[in-house]
Amino acid sequence: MIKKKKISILTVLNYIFFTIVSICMLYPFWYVVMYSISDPSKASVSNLYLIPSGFTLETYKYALTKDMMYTGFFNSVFLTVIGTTVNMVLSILLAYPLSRESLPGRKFFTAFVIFPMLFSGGMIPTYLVIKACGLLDSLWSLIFSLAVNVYNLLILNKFFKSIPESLIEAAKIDGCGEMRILTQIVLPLSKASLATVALFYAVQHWNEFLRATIYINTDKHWPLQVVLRNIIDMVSNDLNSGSDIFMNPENFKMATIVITVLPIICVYPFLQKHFTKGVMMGSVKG
Amino acid sequence: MTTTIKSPNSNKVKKKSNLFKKISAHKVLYFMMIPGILYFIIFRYLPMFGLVIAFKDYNIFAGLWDSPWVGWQNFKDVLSSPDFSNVLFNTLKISFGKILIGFPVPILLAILLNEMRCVKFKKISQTLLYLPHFLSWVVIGGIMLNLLSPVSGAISSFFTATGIEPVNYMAQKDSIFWVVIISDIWKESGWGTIVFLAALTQVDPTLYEAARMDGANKFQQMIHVTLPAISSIIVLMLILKIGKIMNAGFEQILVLQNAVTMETIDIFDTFVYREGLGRGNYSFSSAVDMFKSIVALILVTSANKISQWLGEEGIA
Repeated sequence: MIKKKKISILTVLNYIFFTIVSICMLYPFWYVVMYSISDPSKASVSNLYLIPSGFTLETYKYALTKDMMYTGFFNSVFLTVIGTTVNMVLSILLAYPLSRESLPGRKFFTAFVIFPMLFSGGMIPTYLVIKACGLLDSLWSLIFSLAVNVYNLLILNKFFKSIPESLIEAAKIDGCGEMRILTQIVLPLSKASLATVALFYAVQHWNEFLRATIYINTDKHWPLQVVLRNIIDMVSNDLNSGSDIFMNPENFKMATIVITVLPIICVYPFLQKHFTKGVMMGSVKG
Repeated sequence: MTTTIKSPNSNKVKKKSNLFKKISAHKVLYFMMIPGILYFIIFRYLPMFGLVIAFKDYNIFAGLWDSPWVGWQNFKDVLSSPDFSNVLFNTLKISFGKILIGFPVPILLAILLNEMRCVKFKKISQTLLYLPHFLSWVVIGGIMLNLLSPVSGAISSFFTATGIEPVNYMAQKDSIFWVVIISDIWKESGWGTIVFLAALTQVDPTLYEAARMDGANKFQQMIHVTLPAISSIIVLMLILKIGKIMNAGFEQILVLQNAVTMETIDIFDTFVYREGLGRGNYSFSSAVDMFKSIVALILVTSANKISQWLGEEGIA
């Protein structure tokens, strides 16, 4: 009886600890949402925004009148959809041959794709290559410069390897070509890991910021994250210049953050499941 | 005699034709690889050759090949530049700060999560813990700027409540280091628990039973059973982290630094970005970047070697 009580105190402490941790994780998001739906005219110092102060959707209406939000959103959607497609096609076409034990030169090609993980030319030479290819200032620079992620390639490769060679041999004897083996046997068997890797790529594209600031200078080609960054850097003068209606810049920034994060939150349940699996596949090898 | 000389030769020919046959039997597979290999050659290997720029005095109008060679001059300039020592110091300081303070956090969280019996509560906690990992630093930086603003943010209520003089932690030379470390812990340590949670499920439950028989309490069980059981994965993760110390978090720093804090948290990548692409000192900044890449290469390969010695498979 006494022993049981002792354990339960520790357990209770554990639950309290995780309640606090969870609140720490959740609070910033809660704060942003509450801030964005608060009435800008009622904004006050020392408010924790546990509940909105006043309620209005005007901030969102205002954000949706901004052209740069639309161009940013559509650029990011384009980048995510086309980019992920290119990623998947190239990664599959590379990972499948590399998974075949019988392929002559397999070791060489594997080393060839792994080496860039260890050493890279760096920012400036890569920039010059992108420039020489005429890709600067277009979304294609972001799509082509990271068409294959080695880590994701290895995850796919590892999964393809786990498909028994005998299955492929049997299909070959039945007269299946390599392309048919890939599309009709290997890919349907690897749906789960394909989804995982596709999500890895998609989130990477949606969150694309660094390379976009390096390669893209024209604001109409900016993906959403760069647009958001510029809005966050704005001071009220930039925002209320000209004939624009008055808007508290902080509320506007918070609304933009919510709009940027919304697609991620919507697919979050899938992300969590598949990403966790992906991390396991990537870390626990052999 | 002649036959003995001939036979290895014919064997060789046979082997060659065998290899040729093997290759032609797989030609569809080779064709499949062409787009991917082309990508690697153009966007991954070509820039490596572009590193010759670090040995030249690059001139935009002359182009890469016609710019004059300067030998090791750029590297001499780099090593004698005060910016370089500052950047090296900051990179190491931030990386080691993240390891010393941030590395134990996911281990502790994983052990405590593992103790939890209420599945629903555990699931909710995990869902919230993993969430920040999926958001970009731009988003998190934007939230932090507002949250920590002494004028309008939530922290201002803390200042008014306690009567402490309002401080902008995001724009202070000494506090920005802690903002970088703590925000990194907040964003990534939940995600970091996954590997350790996986390792914890592998621990033999009879070990706990035996420990309980011997009268060990929960805390003693943790120290003497749990930690030794996952020690190999802890060491592996630590080695991999140390292999990456030359990268202190490009995107995070780029988003968090401002004019005041520039110098105190400037790291290799932000320096190369500003000096090279911003000011056009391509050759100088490439030399800085190359120094970083070579040190990183040495660190990562040694980290990999060490983890192989320890009986774990590394990244390759």
